[in-house]
Amino acid sequence: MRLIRLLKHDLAREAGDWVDDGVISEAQAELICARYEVDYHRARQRSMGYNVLVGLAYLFIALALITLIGANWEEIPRALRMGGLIALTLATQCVALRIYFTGDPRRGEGLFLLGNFFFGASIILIAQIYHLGEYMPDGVFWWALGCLPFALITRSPWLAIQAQVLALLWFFLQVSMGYYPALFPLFIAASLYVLLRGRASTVLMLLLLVSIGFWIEYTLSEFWRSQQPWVGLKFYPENLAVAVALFILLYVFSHWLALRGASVAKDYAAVISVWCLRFALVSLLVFSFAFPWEALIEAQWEHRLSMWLVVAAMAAVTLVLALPTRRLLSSGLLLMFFVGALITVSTSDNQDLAVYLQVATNFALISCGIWLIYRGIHDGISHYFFLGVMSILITALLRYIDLIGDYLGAALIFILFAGLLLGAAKYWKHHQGREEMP
Amino acid sequence: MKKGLTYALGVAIAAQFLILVGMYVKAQMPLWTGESIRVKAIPVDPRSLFRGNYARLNYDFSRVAKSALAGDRQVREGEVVYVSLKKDPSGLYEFSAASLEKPTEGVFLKGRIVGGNAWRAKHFYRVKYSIEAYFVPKVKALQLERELRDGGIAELMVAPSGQVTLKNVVGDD
Repeated sequence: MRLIRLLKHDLAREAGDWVDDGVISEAQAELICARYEVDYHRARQRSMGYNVLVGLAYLFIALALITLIGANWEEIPRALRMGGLIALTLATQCVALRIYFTGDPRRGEGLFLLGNFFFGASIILIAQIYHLGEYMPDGVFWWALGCLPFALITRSPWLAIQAQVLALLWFFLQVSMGYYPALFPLFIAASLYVLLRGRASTVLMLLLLVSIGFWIEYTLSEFWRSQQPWVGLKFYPENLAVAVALFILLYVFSHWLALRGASVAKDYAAVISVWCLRFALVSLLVFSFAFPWEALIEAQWEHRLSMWLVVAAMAAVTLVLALPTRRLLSSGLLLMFFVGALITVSTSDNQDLAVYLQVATNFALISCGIWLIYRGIHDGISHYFFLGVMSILITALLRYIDLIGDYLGAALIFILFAGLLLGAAKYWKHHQGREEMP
Repeated sequence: MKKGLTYALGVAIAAQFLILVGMYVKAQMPLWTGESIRVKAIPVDPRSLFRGNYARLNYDFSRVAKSALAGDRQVREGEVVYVSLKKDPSGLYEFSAASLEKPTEGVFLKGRIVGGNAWRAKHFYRVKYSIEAYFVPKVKALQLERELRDGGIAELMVAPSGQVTLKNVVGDD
């Protein structure tokens, strides 16, 4: 998967400079851009920066208003404060409606965004006037719900992002207070609709994936809690297993998505793939210590059956998606290692196993680093190259600070790492030599 | 098509207006229909990021003994609980009983069992009623903090449904 897709708009601008300098013709620039399914002429006039700055300015206007509410001017009568803010909300939305249809729809969307912020400020003011201190999640829910129709009708990713961020805020407020936010799928469905029917938006796509992930995890948490009514809404060790299975599924899904015909699917695939890779490296770094393994071995694992059912369902979907992407072997191996580690930690109470699992994770980390460096140079992807170098250096640093076993054991592991790296370098040279032969 | 979209967006704007009116009416309802009662309150002084300074109030009935709900079915976090109050000789209302079912008579407050620590505490559940924050300007909040150092009196408006609104907080003179 070519990560240069993530920079295709910069590439189009660069091609424009080459055309201006006479290095290539405009037709050649168009051909270069066409390789990455980006419109050369539209990309040069892209207004992304302008839109982001206007959106941020509206956010600051809203923050200024909300801070003013915080000053709590009791000298101004309640009715005037509230009437004024409601009138401001309605007036902004009406102006936005007018501009959306008679002038510039994008400007109209921006003003809807501002109107939605004013709507939220009105809710905050009502909460302040009536001292509704502890039921704030209700206010955030109504704020998110009030924004939702604008996102659905205009199919604007910006408005959908606003509604989804507020919905996520409500989601976390609810779960922190022990309530399961049952209406959250409504917001997920709305964001999915805008993503499929509206303009492409990587931010909305990532936000949607994060929302789905948390929703699955907390739905399971609610299900497991229902078997123990006295327990609050929390994360169980089983949630971690499901999260890993989800990320493996997502990684294979990104490769499946890359095979789709649509350019936007390929763009989304590149983003998902690179974020899965980052998650995998961070997870391996965390599990390169002994204490997370010890905690998992010590954990109760009271919901094994349902956890295995969910993991098995996700593994099945992963393998089905892996078939057309020709990644059956690699994803199968990945699942096998994951299932092996899960069986070990969920069935054994032998704390000594933690060190073996830690050593295995460190070797997995070094192997990932080598693979990334190889892919980085072989495919010309600098991001992979630097990610690989960084993961190897961080592993070396962490192991130097936090030795595995005693000094002799740590020295042995460093020697093995060195052997692995030298072996990889030798193989690479050998491989390069064969490629250069006539 | 354009007419339909205009109509749909108009409905969305109207929906926002109705949400605001609904929130206002819901908050106002205990003030319109409720009975005024006075209870003891203990203030703490925090600040809300968005809504300014407020005095956080604790009440005697913010903690409900687990034994008070012992006869009812198993209690869950977030569960609605009804706390009945009775008038003491000084005219202030205090805890009388707690139930998961709505009482048929008397003054009672509708609250929710909250907090991840609810099940770690041995003898008490923590209950919130949406009357725990009293928003005031900064100067007044500091003055209130001094005045209520040894406790204060909160004036509540309790609707027949148990919904309660905090009307005023004064010193315990």
